[in-house]
Amino acid sequence: MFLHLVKYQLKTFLKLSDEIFWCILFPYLLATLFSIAFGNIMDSMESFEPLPAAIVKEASADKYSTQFLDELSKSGDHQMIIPTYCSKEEAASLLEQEKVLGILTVTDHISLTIKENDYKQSILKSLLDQYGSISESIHEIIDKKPEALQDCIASLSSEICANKEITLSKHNNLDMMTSYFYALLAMTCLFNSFLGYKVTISNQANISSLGARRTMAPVSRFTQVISDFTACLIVSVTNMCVFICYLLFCLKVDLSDRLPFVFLTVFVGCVLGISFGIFVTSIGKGGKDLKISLLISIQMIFCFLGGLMFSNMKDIVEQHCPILNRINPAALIADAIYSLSIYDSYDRFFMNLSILSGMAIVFVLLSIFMTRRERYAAL
Amino acid sequence: MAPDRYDLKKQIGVVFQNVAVFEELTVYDNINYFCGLYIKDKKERAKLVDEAIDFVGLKDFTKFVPKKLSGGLLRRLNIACGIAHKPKLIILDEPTVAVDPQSRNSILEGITKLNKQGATIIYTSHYMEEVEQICTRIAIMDKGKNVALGSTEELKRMVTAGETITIETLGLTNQLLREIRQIKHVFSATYNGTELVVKCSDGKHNVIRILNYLQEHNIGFGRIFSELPTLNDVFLEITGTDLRD
Repeated sequence: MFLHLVKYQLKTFLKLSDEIFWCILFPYLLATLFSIAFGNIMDSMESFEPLPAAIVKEASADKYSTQFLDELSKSGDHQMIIPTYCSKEEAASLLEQEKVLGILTVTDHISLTIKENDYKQSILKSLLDQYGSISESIHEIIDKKPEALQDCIASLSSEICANKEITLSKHNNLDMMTSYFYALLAMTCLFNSFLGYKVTISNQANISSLGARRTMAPVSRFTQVISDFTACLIVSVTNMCVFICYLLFCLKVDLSDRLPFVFLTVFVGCVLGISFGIFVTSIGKGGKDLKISLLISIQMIFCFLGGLMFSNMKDIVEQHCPILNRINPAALIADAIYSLSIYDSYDRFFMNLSILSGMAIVFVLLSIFMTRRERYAAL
Repeated sequence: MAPDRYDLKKQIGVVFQNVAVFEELTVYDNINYFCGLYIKDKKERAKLVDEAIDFVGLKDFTKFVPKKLSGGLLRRLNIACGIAHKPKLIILDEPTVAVDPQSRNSILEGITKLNKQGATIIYTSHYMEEVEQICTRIAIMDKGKNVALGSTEELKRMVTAGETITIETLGLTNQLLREIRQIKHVFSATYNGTELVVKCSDGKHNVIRILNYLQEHNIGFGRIFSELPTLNDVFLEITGTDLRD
């Protein structure tokens, strides 16, 4: 009987319905969009294109300033500007036609003329300011303390940084964007509650005629709930495994180097998602619409607080109401995967998993308790 | 009945008013699924499913999903899902609602056949002609209560309107109308200038008595109609004509 119920429940999942779309296809769409959006951000953060600039050398052009601009114009990885050497009039014309971002006029110093004030022009200005500041310092040292010149030049040649980046873990591979994918995995696990909703609706005699027919059958409520749950779990875990592979191999998301534990997390997440769907759908005598609205609302709140829409949200909740992070399934799932990426120890990971498992058991038991031996005045 | 009386549940088949099938499964899978809730043995189940498909005439539609079926076919699938396991008691809740006449006939014939095969049928309907056609014992329910119970004949005897006689006639006076109301078995008589409608309680020769009376008073008449009460009349008289919720 159990296998018969599981087999046909699985067959119903093979046909695309609203619930299947939200559980299975929507996360792929969202992950792809995330990947495209974050990819563009990373590209714009990482790539730097040399800036076109017109260079006008006056008769009084300073040797050092000219050398400085030549250095900036050298082609290669460190090229900062694309120079166009020309007369004052030609430079003005190029600027007018927006073929260059600015005019660098070299006299005994370098001056900048720009047409618009954008971030690219700011880069040019910043370069000149830095040059001006350093040359002024050197002149001052030559005037006041020439013996310190050698040290000064040496210190300018080396990069000075007061901060040192160290890692306390060998698993620290988190970047800002990856945390969104953790939250997305958590959301996908919770979206399996739609499967729980679907099977529970088809089990409730007062809500669907299908439920009425199934209630009349000589099959215990326990067998029906457990077989439905098993079918949901098979579908959701399979989907999650494929989804993780999609993230890893197609979108190249670096989830963690401890993948078996990531799979364990999403397995527990799926169990929780389904049991949560069954639980919410089993509450009260409300209709289908009310229950699905309730389910979506609660999930969205969970996901929002778990950092799906705003990556720092989890930290804000941790500061102001930490208990929410301990009972929010989305936060717990995301945090479990996060802890795998950050910490060498499994303490935090297993604590999260224990809470998730506990919640899932409570949801299933409450669902069975609420629906077993239920009597209906009329069907 | 307690929810866990599985021994009793196995003997019962229910056909709900709303079609209760899986939208995602084919006709065959739906029947096989519901039959499987009662019959564990695969071979026996396969035989019963085939029989149910033949019974409701869905042999050509076994691979169709419900949304590809017409209303009538869907109703037949609904019935097949309820009766495939050969229950001893079948409860049918308005199975012919919104069904074309051909499908309705087919469904009613099927129900009669099931009854002849030995199943007890509880059939609920608002269509009194269907009830009259297929039911041997009828209960009239009003506001959740059983207000009358018996065979068709027994129920018809419960009501005062035994026979309605309609006579086309002209020139009937009020005095004559009052006298017609005094004739034996007549309990109401109305006249609209062209038609005399007389309601009689159960009794023989009502038509002859009224025609004799008209002839005695030299009143001519045209066409005459005599109607015995239908189950619909019985239902309306017992439950009243007020609109229900």
